[in-house]
Order: sequence, then C-alpha cells, then structure tokens
Amino acid sequence: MKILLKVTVFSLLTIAFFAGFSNYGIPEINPAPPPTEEKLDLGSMTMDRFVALGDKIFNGKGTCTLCHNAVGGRAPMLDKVAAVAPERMADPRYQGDADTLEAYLYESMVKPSAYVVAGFGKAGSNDTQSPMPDASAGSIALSDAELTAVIAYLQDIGGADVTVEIPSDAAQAPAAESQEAAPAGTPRAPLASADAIMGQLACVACHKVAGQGGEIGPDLSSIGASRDREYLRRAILAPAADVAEGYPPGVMPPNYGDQLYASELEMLVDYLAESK
Amino acid sequence: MRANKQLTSTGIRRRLPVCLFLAVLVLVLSPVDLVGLGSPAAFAQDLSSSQGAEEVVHGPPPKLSAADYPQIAGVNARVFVWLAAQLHLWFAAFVLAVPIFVFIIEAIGMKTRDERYDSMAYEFIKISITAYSLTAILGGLLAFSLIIFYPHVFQYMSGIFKETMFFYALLFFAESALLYIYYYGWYWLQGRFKKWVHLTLGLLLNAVGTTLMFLANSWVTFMMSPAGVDPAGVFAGDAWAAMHNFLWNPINLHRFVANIAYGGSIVGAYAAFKFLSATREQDKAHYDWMGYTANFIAISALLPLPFAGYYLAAEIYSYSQQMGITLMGGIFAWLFIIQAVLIGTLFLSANYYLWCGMGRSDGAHRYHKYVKYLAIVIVGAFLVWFTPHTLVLTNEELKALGGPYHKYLGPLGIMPAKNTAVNIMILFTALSFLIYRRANRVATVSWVAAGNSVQAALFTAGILNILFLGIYHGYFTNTVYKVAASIPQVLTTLIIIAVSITLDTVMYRGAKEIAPLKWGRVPDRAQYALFMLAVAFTWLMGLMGYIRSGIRQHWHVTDVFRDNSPDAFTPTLGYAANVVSVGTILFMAMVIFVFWLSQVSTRKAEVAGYWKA
Amino acid sequence: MKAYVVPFFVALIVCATLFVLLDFGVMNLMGLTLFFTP
Repeated sequence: MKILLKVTVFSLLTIAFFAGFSNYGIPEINPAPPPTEEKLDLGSMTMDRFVALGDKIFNGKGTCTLCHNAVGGRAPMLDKVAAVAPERMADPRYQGDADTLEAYLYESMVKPSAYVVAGFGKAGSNDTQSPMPDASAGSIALSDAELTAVIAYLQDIGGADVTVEIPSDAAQAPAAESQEAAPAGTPRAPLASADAIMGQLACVACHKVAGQGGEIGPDLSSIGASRDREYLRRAILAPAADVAEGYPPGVMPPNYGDQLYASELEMLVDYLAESK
Repeated sequence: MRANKQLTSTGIRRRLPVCLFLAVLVLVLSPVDLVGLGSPAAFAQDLSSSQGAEEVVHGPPPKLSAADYPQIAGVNARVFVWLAAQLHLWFAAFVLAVPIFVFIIEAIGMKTRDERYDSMAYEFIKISITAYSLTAILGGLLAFSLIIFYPHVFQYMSGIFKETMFFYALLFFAESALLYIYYYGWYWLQGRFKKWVHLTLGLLLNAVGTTLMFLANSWVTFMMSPAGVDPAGVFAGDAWAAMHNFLWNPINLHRFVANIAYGGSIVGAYAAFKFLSATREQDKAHYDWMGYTANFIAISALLPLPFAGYYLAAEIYSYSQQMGITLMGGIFAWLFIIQAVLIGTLFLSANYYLWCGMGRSDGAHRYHKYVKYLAIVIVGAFLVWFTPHTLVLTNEELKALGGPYHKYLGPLGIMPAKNTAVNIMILFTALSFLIYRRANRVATVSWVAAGNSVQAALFTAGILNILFLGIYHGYFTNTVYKVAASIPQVLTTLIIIAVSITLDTVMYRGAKEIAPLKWGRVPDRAQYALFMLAVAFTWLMGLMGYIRSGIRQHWHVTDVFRDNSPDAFTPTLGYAANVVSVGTILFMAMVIFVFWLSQVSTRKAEVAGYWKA
Repeated sequence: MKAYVVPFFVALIVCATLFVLLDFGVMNLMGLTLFFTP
C-alpha cells in the first residue's frame, strides 16, 4: 500500500510538472476564434476604409501573413509587389493572362501557379508550382469583395494608385455559398440600390457600366445622353423590341420583368437615364 | 534401404507446424504491399463502388449551426469526446503493442528453450487481457459520444466509410477469439508441435490487431487530409481513395512503432511496481529482469520514432503548406517545445535507468567514469532541443531584445539545430546501451584494441558528420537544403547504431563473463525512472493526440465540413495541457486497477468456518 | 598506446570518407548538391 501511495504521488508530481510547464513555462498562446461571416457594409464605404478592410483581411481571415512575412522565407514579401508586378508579367516564365496590376494581384490569389517567384516554388517543381492555395476556395474562402479589398490594400502599400472599384453588396457571398435563403413562401425583400440590382442581374457581364464591364452588349456608361426613359424601360423588359445596331439579337434574357419588383425597375431606369 | 529422414511421418510432423507458421506469415505480409504501395488488391476492390453505372454518392456535408449540436446539461461535449477518444487510444495502443513483443519474446523463448522467456511472455499477455475489455468499453463510449454529440459528423463519415466500419466491427470477433485462445491456451499449446501453432496464433492476432488499427487510422486521417471527395465534400463511392489519403501511411507507421514503445513503457511500469512491492529475492530478480526487458523494448522502438514523426510532419506539409506552417511555425509551434521537454524526459529517464542498471554487473566500475560525459552530452543536447526560436514578446520586450529572437540562443531554435540535437541524443543513448552491455564482460578476441579504436573512430566520424550537416546546411544554405540535410543526418545515426552493435557483438563473441548479472541489485530510484518513463510517454501521447486533432482547427473534415459547434474554437495551450493531464490521471488510475486485478486474481483467502463441511 | 592510435586514425579517415560519400549520394538522390551554390 505504501508503495502504491509513493508511486501515485510521484506520478502526480510528474504530471503536475508537465501541466505546470505548459501553463506557466511557455507564453500563453490564445488562438484566434474560428472566422465568422462578416456582413460588410460596402455601400457606404470610402476607399480609405476599403483599404483598411483589405489590411484587416490580409492580417486576419486571409491568413496571408502565415507565409508572407519576414521570418521563414516561405513566401515573397508583398510590400513592393506593386512595383515589381510589371516585370513579372513581362517575364517569359509568366503563365497567366493579366495585363494590369489589379488583374495580376487578383490572379496571384486565385491562380498562384501562374507565376512563381524564383526560389519559392514547391520542392522539385523547379519553381513552376506554387505552394500557395487558392485564396477564394478551401478554408480561406475569401469572397470577391474581400479579394478586391486585399488588392486595394496591396496597391496602397506598394505606392501605386488604387484602381479597384468598391464592389456592390452582392459580391460579398463567397462563390461556393448561397445567400441566406428566406423561408419558403415569403416574398424577398426588394433591393435597395441600382448597384445591387445590377449586381444581382449581372449586367456588367455583357454591358459596360461606368466604364467597366463586358462588350457583348452596348456600352451603358452614358446611355442616358442618347436614350429616354421609355426606351430604357422597354430595353429591359422586352429586349427584342429594340436591338441596337451591330449587336446580336436574342442574347439578352427576356425575362427580367419577372425578376424585378416595380420599384427596382424604376430605380434601374433612373440610374441609366442619369448616366450621361 | 536408407530411410530418408525428411519423408518419415515423424519428420513431416516436425516440419508441418513450422511450414504452417511460415505460410501464415506470408499470407499476413502480402497485404502490406497493398497498404504500402497503394495498389488496390481484391480486398480494396470490394470497397470501391462496383455497381456499374450506378454511382454511390454521399454528401455534401450539411452546413451546421450551433443548434445542430445536441447538448447534455453540464457536459462539455468536446472535452467528453476528447477524453473518450484519448483514453481509448491509450488502451488500444497498449493492447495492440503487447501482443507484438509477446510474440517476439515467445519466439526467443522457443529458440533458446529458456522457459523464463515463455513465463514472462505469459505474464505480459495476462496484463493485456483486462486492458482489452477496458479498450472495448472506451471504444463503445467513444462511438456513443460521437453519435450523441456529433450526429451529423458521424452520419457523414459513416456514409463514406460504411463498408470499413462494418468490417471493423466484425473483425473484433477474430481479434477476441485469437486473443482468448492465445492467452487461455498458453499452457495447453505447449510442446514441439503445439508451440508452433501457438506462435502462429500470436502472429494472426498481431495481423488482425494491426488491420483494426489501420482501418481506424483511415477515418481519422480522412478528417485531416480528405481524399476521394470533391471540394464540396461529395463522395463518389471510391472508399479506397478515401482510406488511402495523404496522411494514412505516415500515421500507420508512426502509430505502429509508437505503440510498441508505449506498450513497453507501461509494462515496464508494471514490473517496476512489482519490484518495489516484492519481498523475496527471487521475485525482485524476476521483476528487475522484466523491467529491463520492457525498457529495452520501449527504447528500441523509441529510437526510430523521431524519424517516423518527421515523416508524418513532412507529409502534412506536402498536403497543405498552411496546415504544416500552422503546425510548426504558427500557433501550434509552442506545443512542440512542450514535446521537446517530454522527449528530453524520456531520454534522460531511459539513460538514467541504464546507468543505474550497470550496478547489476560486477565489472561496471570500469565504465563509471564515462557516465558523466554521457550525461553532459545528453543534457546539453536536450537543452538545444528545447530552445525555442521565435519568442512571443510584448512590445517593450521586443524593443529591449531588438527583435523576436534571442541574439545567441535564437539560432538554436531552428530545425537543423534540433535535428542535430536529437540525432546526438539518440546516438548517445545507443552508446549508453553499448556500455551497459559491455559492463559485465571482458573481450577475449585478439583484436580488442583495434576494435575499440574502430568503434571510437566510427562514433567520432559520425558525430562530426552530423554536426557538419547540421551547422553548415542549417546556417549557410537555404530552406530546401536545410530540410534535405536531415536525411543524411538520420542515416548517419542509424548506420552508426547498426554497425557499432554488430561490431560489439562480434568483438564480444566468446567473451568472459565477469560474474552472472545480479538481477535485483538495482537501486529503487531506477524503478522510479521507469514510472517517469510511463507517465511521460502517456502524457506525450495525449499531447500529440491533441495536436493531431487540433490542427484541423474549426473543421470536422479539413476544408470540406466546417465545425460550427459552440466548442469549435482552438483552445489555449494551457487548457489543452490541462485536459491531457486529467486524461493521464484517469488513465493511470484505470491502469493501476488493471494491475491490481491481475494481482488479486492469484490471491486465495483462507476462510475457515464459512463453507459447509 | 600505439595499438590504439594507428587503427583509430585509419578508421577515422575511412569512416569520414564513407560518410561524405553517403552525404553526397543522398543529397544527389534528392536532386541537390552537397555544397550550396546560390
């Protein structure tokens, strides 16, 4: 019995030593809590705040500083990336198709192997494969809005012009996730701005709006100068009625009338009419 | 006519059990190819979807919210599952490891025809019988707690692994049958023929046990490094792909070796306890011998373990740089400093036990003078091993220090320094062992001087090589070289150990024994070294188990199935250490219960006047 | 003393050579050289 007691006390002391060392002998490490979906108020953001958001994501949710730091030499430092980007795009090893700094930064985050800085490639891949994951997927899963914020931040710290557009609220949802679905049977809440509507309907996929967008349909950047409200309304509800010269018929979806509330339609028409 | 001995009926009878054993051995080893090289054999084909055009699809996993995790008032679900899993693992490791070395000790006994080995092997297996039922109870508790507290996770996992889980459950019939026949039939299956049958049963027991472990390992490694599912978590039906994920084989290897080391240390603690409680000289001698053997097993398995662990960490990096960096360069990095302290404890205890044990020999005094140098080197290596690199400092401290590293000690914190330190520790432990073996003998070969010189040269050249690889590649090259240099370092250590043991064996052939080893003549504090070993091993396993599971952070299945439970947060290191400590105390209490039972079962109380005449 | 010294140095040179060859061989197998050239 005495032996049992001695052995028990000895074992408890040993365990206490290990527990004590772990609690007091090393610095207290408090890991960050799991990331939560943050609803960003993009509509009212200034560019300064947007850059600050990018900074926050860069140092937080994006987990960028895990590798892009001065310590381990695991990833290139990004403080001067704005300056070196043109060289990299001109490098014969460049595999991507960006032509602007903004596009290059976006591509580096979603297709990191498009260009691997010398010495940072995966072992044995001869700098053709990047160990960096796709920041828009997996456990980082940055939304388009967040990626854009990081681009803004990187442009800012590199001393370049911040060329990004603060995206609409609709760009907040990560690609893989669906928006919070309203309970079945209740009508959806009407969208609050022309921006939100254009985001929802993905107008910029085919049309240029405020200078940015696709070229499948007519440029709407100054459409208000040449077309009146009635024309614009008809163009949205019944696109086949007036097909602009030089553009293919039957491409624009004819069912936007079923998808918009009357208030939303008017908001959109107002916006286009004022785009002069 | 000359009778051909081999073809007589007695001749065949004699060779039959050996052939039976060898046949089973071949059968058992052939699936190793399957597991090792990853080529699906018939067994694996059955697992895959073989339903022709019909695709077996499962998933994607649901998006859970806190409300989806059932609660029982007053029970912290995460800690409960954590403890159930860890306790189950501790017992399972023990129960899988013991048959491995029992098998080896029985075989040694059969070879040497020394009955003491057979009795010792029987005594070891007796301990694990009670432990076996505790393993099963804890396994059931674990399964129930997963179903109760994490039903969606269990549903997702069982949808993917349903065939292997089913097979796993059925395989326990084989495990139980084999274990019970192996144990209960120990003294029935004795004699020339039946002993081989018994040994074959032991082999089968180990094969089944290892298979069970490999199956369970696949579920746990899938959660860490999923395969066979698309990025959304949809499973297309290929169970072999899900099983054979990135981390499966590294964990298989690491756990197989670690189990042996661990099992040896627990049995060593048992022997130490019995030694301290023994009153008769022959009992003390018996348990001293048992403790030494168990410790020998534990240390032999401990030596290759750092390499298995390194391989595991390397595969984690290959799977996901992020996971690897979080593990060793991020929030989990400090856990490895704690691990260093534990490992240092293991090495120091093991060496201390060897040095104390030298007293069993009358000739040991010749080597006493070397012990302090061994101690200095091992303690020094341990200090390097446990020095951190990046310090977590407040802003004032940062300014005072001029950076996050200590100017002189900081460089000792990087991996090449640690690799060098651990190689040196392993080498000097092997050296302690060599000296221990030599302590009782005087070599009689003519070339003793030359042989000793060669040994010295081997160690000197090897240590210089290890230092060169560590210092040059560690501080004057880039990351790729730093990491790569650890491979020749490891090989140097392993070569030195293999060659020096061989050389010593040859050199001491026909050596004079100074006197028979005085088993039992060992100070009590040596037994406490064995307890330290067992407790440290247990705590270390708990810590590593936490790291393995915690590195998934807020994911049930990495990048695929998000953990949204109220306890999804990664706890502070201190908290984790406390849970591990509680687990260790619970485990030790249960183990003492197991040891006590094996003692109680042999007691016979003398009662007069109770039974009717 | 001579009985120890000569075999020690001979063995030291042999072992050192073998270890260096080992280093070379292993590093080569991994696609690297023994000495680092940036």
